[in-house]
Amino acid sequence: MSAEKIGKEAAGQLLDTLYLDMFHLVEEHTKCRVDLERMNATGTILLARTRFQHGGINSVSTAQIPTENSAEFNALCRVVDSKNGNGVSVVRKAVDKSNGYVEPLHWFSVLPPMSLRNAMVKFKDSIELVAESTNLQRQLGEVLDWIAKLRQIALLQ
Amino acid sequence: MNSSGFMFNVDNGYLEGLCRGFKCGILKQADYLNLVQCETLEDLKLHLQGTDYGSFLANEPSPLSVSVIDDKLREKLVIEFQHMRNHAVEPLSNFLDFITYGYMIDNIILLITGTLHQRPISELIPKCHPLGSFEQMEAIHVASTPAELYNAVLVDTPLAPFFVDCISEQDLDEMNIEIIRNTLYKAYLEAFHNFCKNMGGATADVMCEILAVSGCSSSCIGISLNFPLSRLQFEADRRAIIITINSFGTELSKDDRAKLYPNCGKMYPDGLAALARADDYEQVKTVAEYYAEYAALFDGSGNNPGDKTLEDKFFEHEVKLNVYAFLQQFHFGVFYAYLKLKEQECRNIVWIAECVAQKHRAKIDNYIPIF
Repeated sequence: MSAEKIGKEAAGQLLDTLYLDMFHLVEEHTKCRVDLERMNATGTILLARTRFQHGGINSVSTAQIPTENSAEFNALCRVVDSKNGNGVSVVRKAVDKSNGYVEPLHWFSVLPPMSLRNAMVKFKDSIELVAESTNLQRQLGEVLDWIAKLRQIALLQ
Repeated sequence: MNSSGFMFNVDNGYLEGLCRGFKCGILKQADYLNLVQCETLEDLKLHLQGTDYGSFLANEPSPLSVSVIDDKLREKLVIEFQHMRNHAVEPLSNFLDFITYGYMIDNIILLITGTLHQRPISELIPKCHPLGSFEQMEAIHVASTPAELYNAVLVDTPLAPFFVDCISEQDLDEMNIEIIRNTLYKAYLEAFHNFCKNMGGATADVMCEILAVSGCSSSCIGISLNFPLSRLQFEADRRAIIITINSFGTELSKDDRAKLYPNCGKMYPDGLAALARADDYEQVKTVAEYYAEYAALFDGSGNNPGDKTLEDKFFEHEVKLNVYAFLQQFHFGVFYAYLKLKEQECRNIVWIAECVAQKHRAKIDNYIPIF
């Protein structure tokens, strides 16, 4: 009887811990999403400022972006999903035009204004936040799974 | 008695009067205060109906977008400019044509850049500025080197004389295109400056600074183009400073950078030589301190939140110079100044529209006031 009681208490404490983890993860995930939205919004308004300072819609335009018929190039940034439980990470390559790693900023201008450079930094940082948000979401999912399993076990007992 | 006023009005009086009338329609601070309080683009459209823009967006389908607003603003400006150009005779017609060459350069660069990325010419042509349209535009995609571009397209255009320093057999890539853009614009500015100087007579280069700043009446015989001279000097110096600052951290060498500086500004030759040697923003600021009006622009500008950027300070100074143009009569500078002030107004409205559309109102007041 006492062993059963101890087991129930341990399960209850574990559930409490998992619920606390869940709330912490929800808070972190929400904060991450808010930061991501803010970062994207800042980057977009910086693009608008670049257009304001440097000649209108065509200074940062879709006409300057490569198409599927353009010369091939490699991505400077790859999202890698590690299999060892460390989650999603962002791997960056250095700009190396001879090997196909082009600088996207140069599509718009080889003499980029400060607002465009700052916009690029914001969008780069937002990629990191996306990876962080993904990892938090996965952790949250795992915690919710454990909570569901423990509650199932408690119901069966 | 100075007869320059009478002679000017024979051919150009009506158009100067028209230009001054258009200028009265430029948005005032009260109009901007209404615009920044708009919650949606439809509100913006409603407030613009009460200005000289009237119902220019009436036929546009909902929902409105910022690009549509930008297109319609530009369309109205182009109609006004082309009306004045259609009624102009020489030398005003030549002066107005010269203004359009800057837009031609921008269009050429846009088309080359788009073609480099295999975009169809039919997609690129609508994005070109109407004031810079020319017949040979659609043939630009056939060129893969500057030499081909010149021989096939530009040789019969007004830009041909500006292309002399750009002809080479190197392939058109992003760096070369940027160098071509700035080299073309340098040649254009210098040619425009010489054009104004020649038109203004022998006293133009002596009087231009005084007349532009103090607003004294012209004593030039013939048509006064002193305002455009000082205005172009400012444009040349601004380009030199901005090119220098934007080149930091890029592959553009100091020698190549120096070749892009227009030589018709106040900073020529010593200031430009010092700019060519600069390695960072502080050194550029030190060079600018030798020129009182530019030193004032660097003071108080920065990249911290709440600071005005250097580009914004340049815009404010440009607006001030353009407003001064209307203090004098009987010169062509009012046409140039009106066009530039209207463009600034369009940029202001588009900026406010972007802030409204993105619901990012923190910096909605960062437009450049005109009146």
